[in-house]
Amino acid sequence: MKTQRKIIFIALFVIANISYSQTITVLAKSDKSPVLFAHVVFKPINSETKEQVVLTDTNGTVTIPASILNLRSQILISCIGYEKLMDTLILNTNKIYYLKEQNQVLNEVVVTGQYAPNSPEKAVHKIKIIDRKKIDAMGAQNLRDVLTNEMNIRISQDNILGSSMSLQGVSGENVKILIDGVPVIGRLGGNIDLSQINLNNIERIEVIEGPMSVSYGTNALAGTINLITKKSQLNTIETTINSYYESIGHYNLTGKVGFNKNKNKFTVSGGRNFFDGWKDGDKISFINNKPQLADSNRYQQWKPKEQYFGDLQYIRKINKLSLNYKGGYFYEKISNRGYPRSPYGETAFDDYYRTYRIDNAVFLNGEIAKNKNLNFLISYNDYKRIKNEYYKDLTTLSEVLTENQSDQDTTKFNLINSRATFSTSKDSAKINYEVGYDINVENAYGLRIKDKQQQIGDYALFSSAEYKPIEPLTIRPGLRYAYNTVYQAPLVPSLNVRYKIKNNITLRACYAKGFRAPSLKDLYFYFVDINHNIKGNENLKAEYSDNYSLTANYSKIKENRIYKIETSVYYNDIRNLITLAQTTGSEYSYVNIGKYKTLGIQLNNEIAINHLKISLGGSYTGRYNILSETQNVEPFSYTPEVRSNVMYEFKKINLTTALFYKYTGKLPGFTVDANNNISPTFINEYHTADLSVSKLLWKKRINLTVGSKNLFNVKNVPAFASGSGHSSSTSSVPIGTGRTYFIKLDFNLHSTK
Amino acid sequence: MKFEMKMKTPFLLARVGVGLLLLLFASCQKEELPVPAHDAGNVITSTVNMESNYKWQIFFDLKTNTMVSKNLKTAWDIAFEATSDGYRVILNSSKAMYAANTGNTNFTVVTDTVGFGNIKKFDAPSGASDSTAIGDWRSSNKIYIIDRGYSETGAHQGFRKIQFQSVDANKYTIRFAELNGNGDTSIEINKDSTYNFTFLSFTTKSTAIIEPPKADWDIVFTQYLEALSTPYLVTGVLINRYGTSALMDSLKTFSQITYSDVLSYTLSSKLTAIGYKWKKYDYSTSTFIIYPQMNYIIKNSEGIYYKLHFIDFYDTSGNKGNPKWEQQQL
Repeated sequence: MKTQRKIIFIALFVIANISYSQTITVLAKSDKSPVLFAHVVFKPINSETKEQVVLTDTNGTVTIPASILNLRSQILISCIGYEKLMDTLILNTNKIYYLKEQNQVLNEVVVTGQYAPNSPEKAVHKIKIIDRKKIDAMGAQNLRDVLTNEMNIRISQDNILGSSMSLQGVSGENVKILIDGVPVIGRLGGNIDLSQINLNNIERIEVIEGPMSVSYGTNALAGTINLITKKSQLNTIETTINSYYESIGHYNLTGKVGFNKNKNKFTVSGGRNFFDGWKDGDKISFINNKPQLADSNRYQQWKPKEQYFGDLQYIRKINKLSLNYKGGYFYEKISNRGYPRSPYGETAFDDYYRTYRIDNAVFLNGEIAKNKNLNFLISYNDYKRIKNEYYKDLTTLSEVLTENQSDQDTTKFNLINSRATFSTSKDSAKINYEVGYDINVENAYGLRIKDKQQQIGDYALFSSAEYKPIEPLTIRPGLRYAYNTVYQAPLVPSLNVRYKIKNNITLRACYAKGFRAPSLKDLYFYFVDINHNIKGNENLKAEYSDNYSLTANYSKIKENRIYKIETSVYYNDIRNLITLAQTTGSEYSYVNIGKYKTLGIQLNNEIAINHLKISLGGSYTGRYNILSETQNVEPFSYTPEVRSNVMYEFKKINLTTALFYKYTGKLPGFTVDANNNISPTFINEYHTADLSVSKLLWKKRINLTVGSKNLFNVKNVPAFASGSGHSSSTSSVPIGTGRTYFIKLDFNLHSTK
Repeated sequence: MKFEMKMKTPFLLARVGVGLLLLLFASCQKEELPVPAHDAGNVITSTVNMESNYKWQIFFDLKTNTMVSKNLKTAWDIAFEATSDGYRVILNSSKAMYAANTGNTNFTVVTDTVGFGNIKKFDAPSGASDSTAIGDWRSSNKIYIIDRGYSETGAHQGFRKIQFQSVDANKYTIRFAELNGNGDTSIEINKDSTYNFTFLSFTTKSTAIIEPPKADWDIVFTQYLEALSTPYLVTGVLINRYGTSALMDSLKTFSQITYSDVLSYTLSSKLTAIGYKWKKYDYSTSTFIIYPQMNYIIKNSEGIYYKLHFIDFYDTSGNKGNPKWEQQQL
């Protein structure tokens, strides 16, 4: 009877509590906005009752589970981007908790060259992160756009071959570009066209200066740029549409739909980028499709470009592993309407360059046991570029394909890459290690490649270990051994040391060897006719470098303030540089005779006070003059750079303003002509700055950004470079397309059903 | 009311968004409209087709505005001066030919090209009669090695050894063979003074009619070896060495040049007075550009003046090797 009454009483109590249920509301400390999808863990103390996990709803609210009501419990609230909060109480009233935003700097994660996802602070390498926030604030559409504001990186523009870069004064053929660890192919003249790498699916970009050849093999000599795609999604269905217009005639539209259910995630995305070309004197226009007379206005310095692309991604969680398939298609057409030919302007040569990329990759990543990680990938990348030349009669607009063989050219590359690493990542262990393999089989096809087609296979094993003899010190030696089907691959060592002095000073020292394998063109180029005799050299060795660098970081974090200062010095000594040289008689070939060195120093400061973030830095880069070995010129020519970013977030009104500035100093050099006369070469200095304001509207579903790029109105920069061989001397180089204005409208719609 | 406002804003934004999306997809490259063709007036426009690998040598007469003859550049190797007191032997420069005096007089001893690279010479492109690769051979009886150069496809045509034995008012006597002695040929080359030269082919081992009679043509379109930083095969125009001279004038426009202007000019009789520089290969666009502002004044063997300037190097299908020019008698 007594028990019966007790049951009824409890039942009534429970019913009462369901109808008037108790809640916990989680709000952001800064602007008191609800924190969505925060994990709230209820853990009853001294009770048999099981712990419960509940997610906050769109009001930031959770209902306290009935089984826990009135029990003394520990409560743990966590959410990405916020500091964790823990409390112990008897759950019987409504309660509001305020979560403190985590400092973004502390929230960063890097993966490039790491045993497991790691904080950049703890990594033995110095890794720079370009996050989505910066990409968005810059209105950056592709890799070229975003790298223009990076220190130690110089972008050059060829309006047919595209945008290339140099890093630490070393040319782009020595920079490895990866997307989720898969090498990007399609190096024309050694360089990848950075404007073909769109950023719409990219979450962040990790930049490592200095060789990473132990992990990533060839090309990773001056540095490695790893683009990380977005993989996480909170909602069941998420749709984003991004539109972009820039006043010189950029019209971009991309879209994405993602489904996230149970342990599966499926994403489809695609888009179109169109640029109507630019020449000095172009007026601002918005969709002007009126036909124009085929006169000299048909010629554009920056060529019209149209890109279409689509990507698929499927991720499945299997325990702590994630299985990921990624497929991508990319098409680009560059239209080069020729200048009407002198004297009557009645004919012109029009070129069209079509690039096709198809990428496929399967990844298996994650923890296979506690602190034991597996990273496996296999990928197939295909690249094709077709050039077609037409002779156009401008009085009738009829056109014919020209008959010259080299006018209609197809270049093809494909790469099968497989790579796996096994690593341990136990924080408390004295030794963690990584072992891995990296297989690359590359095919190249082209008109001027011996027998039209060649293959090169590279089979590499690599290993490294992180040894912590004492807590603040980490020593990481690494080694890569490779068998290559064509040339004798070098043995590549590296040694990284990280030492943490006190709590806020970190020193990093690095010695590493980097290399660049001779490309299929260097090995098998074949161009022999009556005036040319250039043959590749099948006995080439790899270019290699010794890199030494030293970095010191000081950081101080206090309440809402972060202060960071970083300084580093580096020295690159590159040998066996592959150079085209006259070998016998009239025959030219590639030989390992060149030498190159760069050295530099850089300093960077970062201050974050509440929602204001300022960074200011400078660098000084020296490039070696090989002529100093035989002529009376100084061994190094130096170039300064200054860079600054200012970003301020008005949290309450969801408004962000950002300013990006970079000064690129004069690039001096020397050249020697056939008569042994030395003359200086240069590219003049220039300033670039971008300014933007973005605002979130309609419950953060719309992000509107307006801004201006290239505030200093940089177009062609005066330069003098007397070329060797066939190339003629130039008086300016294209750097920018003048001051432009842009508007970016992003829609982000989601549903949890 | 307030509720309605709230609802309207997102819908308005959505509509703006959809409009923007449509506009973005509507962006594309502009269509073109044809330009009007130019009016040639009373200027004569002519063109010849050397083909894109420049395999033809084309002899042209300005007075009749006709192509007098054309021959494959591989149709001959060396040519013999045809005047009665002539003795000079020229190489077929359009194949990038070289010659060297071995210093040896024993025909059978010369069997290889060792050292040839260091002493080989090519004919001066100006056509100066004292600057031929073979030079004055008459008193020496020496054996020469001839590098036959390349065909239009870049195939090397091998070497010959040759001994010039005698010359008189009517004929030359020579002996030539491959370096290994095969094809040993002794032959007489007859002179005919209505021509500049008598031509010989090592392939047929006989003479051939290449150039038309010397009074019948003014200019020849051909490749020839020019002394650039290294000897380089260029494509251009040589003038007839028989009584023809020329000069480039880029100060006046083509239409401005009159007969009275040219009387004050001193014309050059160098074969390369017109040359190849009226066009230039532009590496940035991978095409030839024409310099129509380079006007050429030509005086033929009859003393008649012409002006001409080039306006194209491509045919209507965009194939190179098709010089096109405008000409007018002054």
